[in-house]
Amino acid sequence: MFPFIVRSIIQKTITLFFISIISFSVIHLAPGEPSQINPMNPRFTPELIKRFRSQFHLDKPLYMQYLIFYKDLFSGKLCSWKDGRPVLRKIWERFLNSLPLFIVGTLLTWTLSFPIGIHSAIKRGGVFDKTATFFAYFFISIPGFFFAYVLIIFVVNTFHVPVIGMKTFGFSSDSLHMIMDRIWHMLIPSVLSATGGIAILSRYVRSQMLEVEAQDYIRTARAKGVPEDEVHYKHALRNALLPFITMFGLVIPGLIGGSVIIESIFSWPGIGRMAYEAILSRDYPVVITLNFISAVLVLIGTFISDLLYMVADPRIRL
Amino acid sequence: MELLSVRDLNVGFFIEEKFALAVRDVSFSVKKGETLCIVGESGCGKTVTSLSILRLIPPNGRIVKGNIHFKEKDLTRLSEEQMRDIRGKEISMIFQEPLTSLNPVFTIKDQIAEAIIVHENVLKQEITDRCITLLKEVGIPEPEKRLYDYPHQLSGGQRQRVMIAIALACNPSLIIADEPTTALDVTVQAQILNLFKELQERYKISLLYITHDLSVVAQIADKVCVMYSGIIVEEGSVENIFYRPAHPYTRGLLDSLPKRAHKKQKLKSIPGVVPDLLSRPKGCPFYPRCSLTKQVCIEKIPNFKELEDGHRVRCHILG
Ligand SMILES: Nc1ncnc2c1ncn2[C@@H]1O[C@H](COP(=O)(O)OP(=O)(O)OP(=O)(O)O)[C@@H](O)[C@H]1O
Ligand SMILES: [Mg+2]
Repeated sequence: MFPFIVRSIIQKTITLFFISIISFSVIHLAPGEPSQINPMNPRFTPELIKRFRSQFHLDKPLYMQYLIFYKDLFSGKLCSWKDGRPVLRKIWERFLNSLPLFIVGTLLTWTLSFPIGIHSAIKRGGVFDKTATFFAYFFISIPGFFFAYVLIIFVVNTFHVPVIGMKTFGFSSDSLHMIMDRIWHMLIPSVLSATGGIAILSRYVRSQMLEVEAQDYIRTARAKGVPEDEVHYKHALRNALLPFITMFGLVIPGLIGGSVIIESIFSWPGIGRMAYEAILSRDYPVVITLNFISAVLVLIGTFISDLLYMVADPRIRL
Repeated sequence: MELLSVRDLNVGFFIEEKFALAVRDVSFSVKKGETLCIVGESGCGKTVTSLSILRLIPPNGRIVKGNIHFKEKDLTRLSEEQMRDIRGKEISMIFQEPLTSLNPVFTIKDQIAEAIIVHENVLKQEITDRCITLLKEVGIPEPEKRLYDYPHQLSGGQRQRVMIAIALACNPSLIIADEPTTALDVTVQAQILNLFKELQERYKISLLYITHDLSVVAQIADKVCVMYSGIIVEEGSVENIFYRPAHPYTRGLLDSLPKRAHKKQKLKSIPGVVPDLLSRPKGCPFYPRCSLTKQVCIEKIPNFKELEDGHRVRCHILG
């Protein structure tokens, strides 16, 4: 176990180094740069552009820019080109805004998909399975933004609560009402982001469970006289869950992903929208930093799922 | 006194909206301490027959007719719960594929112990002891260590031994072994076969042994049923089948045995293949491959003819 951890950390650090180079150069290979954001603007005199370029080190060779960039990033000095605020601080604020959506959405997805998928598989072809299948395909095929508007109209009309933004503007009351207000605002976007996830994940769980239920060792368990519930929940489930360890590891990068569509619809000042806006305004420091952090999170996610595999699957000894 | 007696068993499957019989009018019986072999080519319905006894056929299958009497109970009429008390306790089953028959995420001990725990109230320490004894019994070296291994750490032969240990765990009166050595290499096959013989002698367990290999039959069987395309075409004692085979299919099988063929002479084989479930002929299922076919063979399935005591054959022409 210990050598595996050391080896894995070394490997992942090397990978991260190459990712840092690639994500940095990809951005710079793309046409356009911040100094050219609006060349038609008469106020953009050549002198101004030149000053701009040297201020952001754009006149230096690319490898120098790379070194300066990551030096600033790790010393915390990196600032946004747009508003001059420290990048890490900006990201942290937005991250805190997105976090509740992410947590509620992920919890809903993972706690509902498994019971639905497992039950569908065990009672294959039954009423529950058919209903679940119908809704799964319904939610997979309906566009998210459309469903969002339907939900907003429904909630506003029936419950008469505003659902846009993180809280009701200008609303102040005792703390209990504040909390309720926050929860109301959070509920719809997170339910919305969960429905698509539940639809897809429950299908995966179902098909995985069906595949395992057809294995020879399930027949062996029945031939031993093991009760049906134990056949499903002990023998089949333990095996069916294994592939989801990989998926679980990939949830972690979602921490910094955020959803552009949902955050835009609900005017939610989250991290997804910040990334989107940063790309549009060619705010390189923000874009590359987000990119780098999500690479780190992916590597951490795979590391965790490797560790979980070692615990859960006796065939894997790394 | 018959321990297991199967009468007119008919088992079919729903395949693409159609229903087709995979096992037709199969009858046989096994006495206490006796070994009955069911022989036949791949796809003739051996596995379906054996799974029917424990009522473990796949969900698209149905037992449409017949009785399965076991110790004065008709297994076709028991509730699912009553069936569970029989599975693994009174009747155990060993399967064809040792590599996939054990659950990969549980230790050997877990899987043997489970067979005991579901049927008996036993103390923890006692379970470990019993698992060790069982592993010794089936010839696994260093059982104390092997106990905590996972299936992937064992060879195919050892896994089949573990399956046998599981089958023996509650001292069943009948073991159904569905081609237990087919997936193993020849030397291991012989070892496992010897193990079966030893255990049977020691515990007087009845054995329903399924195989497609007549040389295995010669070593282990008391009685033999020869199956073809879902029906039993001939049944009798080992001597009947080997020295006085009556059905053309049985004769064909014996002629294709390497021992019988003379040196240098090419091994004979029966031309043709076993017909598919949905396209089985109306008459005797063997007629398309038979050299003696007459009009009557094409028209109807022959009934059994009694040749000698216990030796019966389903053939219009011979017997
Ligand atoms: N679940 C099922 N659905 C449809 N047909 C089936 C099913 N299970 C078995 N069959 C069919 O029933 C017939 C008998 O199959 P069975 O498995 O009993 O053969 P077998 O004699 O055990 O052959 P083998 O030596 O290959 O194990 C085959 O034609 C097979 O295709
Ligand atoms: Mg078979």
